[in-house]
Amino acid sequence: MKIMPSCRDITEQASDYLEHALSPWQRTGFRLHLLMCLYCRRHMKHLRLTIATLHRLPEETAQDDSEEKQLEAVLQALREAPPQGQTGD
Amino acid sequence: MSRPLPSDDELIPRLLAGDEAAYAQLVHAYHGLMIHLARAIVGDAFADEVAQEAWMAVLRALPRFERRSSLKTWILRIASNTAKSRLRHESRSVSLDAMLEDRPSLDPGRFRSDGHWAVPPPAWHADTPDDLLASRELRAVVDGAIEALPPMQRAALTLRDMQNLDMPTICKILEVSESNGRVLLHRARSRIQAAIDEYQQR
Repeated sequence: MKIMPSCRDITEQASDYLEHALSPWQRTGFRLHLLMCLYCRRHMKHLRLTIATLHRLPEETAQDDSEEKQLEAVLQALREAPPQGQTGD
Repeated sequence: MSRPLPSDDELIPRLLAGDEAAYAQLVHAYHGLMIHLARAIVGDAFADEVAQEAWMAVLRALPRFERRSSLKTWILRIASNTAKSRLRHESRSVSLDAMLEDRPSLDPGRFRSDGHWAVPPPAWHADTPDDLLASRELRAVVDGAIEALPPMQRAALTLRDMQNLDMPTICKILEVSESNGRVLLHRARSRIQAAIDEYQQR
């Protein structure tokens, strides 16, 4: 096993690193590489910023009233089709 | 958004007894998430229909629910499967393999043969999500990049980064292994990041 991941390896392992899915050995190599590599540090910073931006998108998306209408339609359909487990006849 | 949903232990017997208020609570709690998931897999045009179909399937299957996962996970897995079969139906050529698609996260041309950067990441003129989202143009670039993702990548990204579910739950919902789930997520993130890279260089 090689000790130090390449820049390409870093970009492939980046989410596994953030999701704590790397082995301790891989994690150490990953961190060592970041210490020494400005571009990979930048790449990771941008990945974190990308993720933070994605987190913000749902709230940025304006809600319309069609969701409420949809909810009503679903509830109506469910009312008309009672579950098989329902008691009574 | 209103009352907190009761625990599965409390909710399931009420659902099985046909308690309408319990159904209303359940639908209110998960319909939004279900729509986001359906939209990610089949697109806007069919998302409402798929969600409706999924709720009916939930209703039918509930008496057979074995509680090997939470109710939430189980419901969203039904929604995911409903969306996937709809996708296969609408685009006959799409196989699950095509949904998974296998390509490196970044353009291989960005690296030299020894794995070092050939085209390093460009500096971004933004330090926060606010900076990024302040540009309407960039917002459109991000939306477009999400739109262009393969369905399963878009689903993983939506559930993880936009809806904040944890990875083990997401993998159960999408019926992929944990490692495949992480690959889907990472490919999706990388493509959004690459789209922003490209925009920053304009």
